[in-house]
Amino acid sequence: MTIRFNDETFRDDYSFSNSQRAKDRFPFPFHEDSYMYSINMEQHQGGPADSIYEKRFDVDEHYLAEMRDRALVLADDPLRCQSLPHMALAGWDLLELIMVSKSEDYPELFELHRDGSKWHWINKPMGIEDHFIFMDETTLPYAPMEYITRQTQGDFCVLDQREDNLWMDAGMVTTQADWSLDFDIGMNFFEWHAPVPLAHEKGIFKRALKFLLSIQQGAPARRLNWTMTVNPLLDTSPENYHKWGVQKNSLTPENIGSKQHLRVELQTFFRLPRSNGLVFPIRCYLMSFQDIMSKPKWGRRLHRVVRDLPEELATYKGFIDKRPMMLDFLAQYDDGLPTSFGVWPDDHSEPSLQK
Amino acid sequence: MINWVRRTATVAGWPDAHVHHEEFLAPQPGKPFAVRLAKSGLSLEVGEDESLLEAIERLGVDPPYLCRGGACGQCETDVLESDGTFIHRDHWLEDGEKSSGKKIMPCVSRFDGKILVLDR
Repeated sequence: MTIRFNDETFRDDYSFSNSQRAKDRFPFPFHEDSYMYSINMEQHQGGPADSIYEKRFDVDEHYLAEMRDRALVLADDPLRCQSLPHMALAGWDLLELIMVSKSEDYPELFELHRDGSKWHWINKPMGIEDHFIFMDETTLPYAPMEYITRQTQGDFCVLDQREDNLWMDAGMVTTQADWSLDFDIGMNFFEWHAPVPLAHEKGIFKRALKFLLSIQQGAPARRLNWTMTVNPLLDTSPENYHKWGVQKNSLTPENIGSKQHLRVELQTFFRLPRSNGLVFPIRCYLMSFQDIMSKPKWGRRLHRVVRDLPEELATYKGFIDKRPMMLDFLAQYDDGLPTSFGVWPDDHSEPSLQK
Repeated sequence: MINWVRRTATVAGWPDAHVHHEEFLAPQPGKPFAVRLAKSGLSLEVGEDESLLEAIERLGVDPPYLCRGGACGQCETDVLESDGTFIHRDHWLEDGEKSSGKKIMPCVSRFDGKILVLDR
């Protein structure tokens, strides 16, 4: 399969768009007509053909534009990429994991040739070719984690595992849903999740941590998370809140369909072999409300989920003020018919809108 | 053997964080045991090297599951009758539920005894 990479932006004129293929494979996160936190983790061992779950690191039409956006963010704010001194080995682990996975999963796009510690990496879409010595940082233009994550979609948290806990000790974070690596660096699993409402009381983080601590090599796991973003912005960071926060007020009943995006994160978890660290990629997928409405099942369901979401969650996810306007828009696409179970759009079996 | 290495390392003064280990990918083995599935009307023997969940799936029953690691709660199953000891290995059930003998997480937990009947 050949991927045609979009020439698009995630800022200024927001020329980002999803092709029909991207709409069809969008990871709609709601498997039923309501939402509450759960430990929605499953094994990450592939998925349906051409779905975002099929490959270990999904490469799609937004690849080059996302990498350009990352470079712009880093030029403005180098602290989006940090690694505490003891995480250098984990950086090499991550570089190896991504290079091996991408060259095996997308041989037409990426090549890795290894002769002992002499490695040769070719990234065709980005026009990168480097020869380097594995484990010798001086032979790469950046430290290994930064080098490979400048070439891979999604944010990356590289977690150290010690004292039966996980520690946010390194990362590349430029496409985040309002959290800051610079603020969270060095925190443990419970500390960086402290702001999340309702989930602590349900014992979710305690159980999730135990599951994560026991993730093994070759047996990665995954889950979806979601929030709302006005305009197709990748960088919704606290550092830049003064730039994007005000954009929420540009929503009107006329433009909400194109401006309001559902933001879905595919979060995966891989054990790293030498460092015993855990890498936690957070891959962001954006889809406008009006594009979501092209799937009748998703239209019905999104209305019901947004309508019935507990206030704490709508507040935490930052759209409580705009919820009435969202519901006015979404209600037009909900005819009250039942929806089939599961996340898939079921285009061929779900009835079209009956009003 | 893993436990021996960890104990020896601790005695030798190694910090815990520097002794890495992982279990084999397959479910933790255990003694075979027999199960009856009340709803499906099936009886089965869980082998030494398979999980209760895998054994149920092997018979063509399609029970709910998600993480297969004892954390998500999806495969929680009611126990209708039992005579024996539960070997709970999950992170999901509360201590009271574990000791009640009324619940089991078939993805990781096992049973040692004569009779086990599940609501499945």
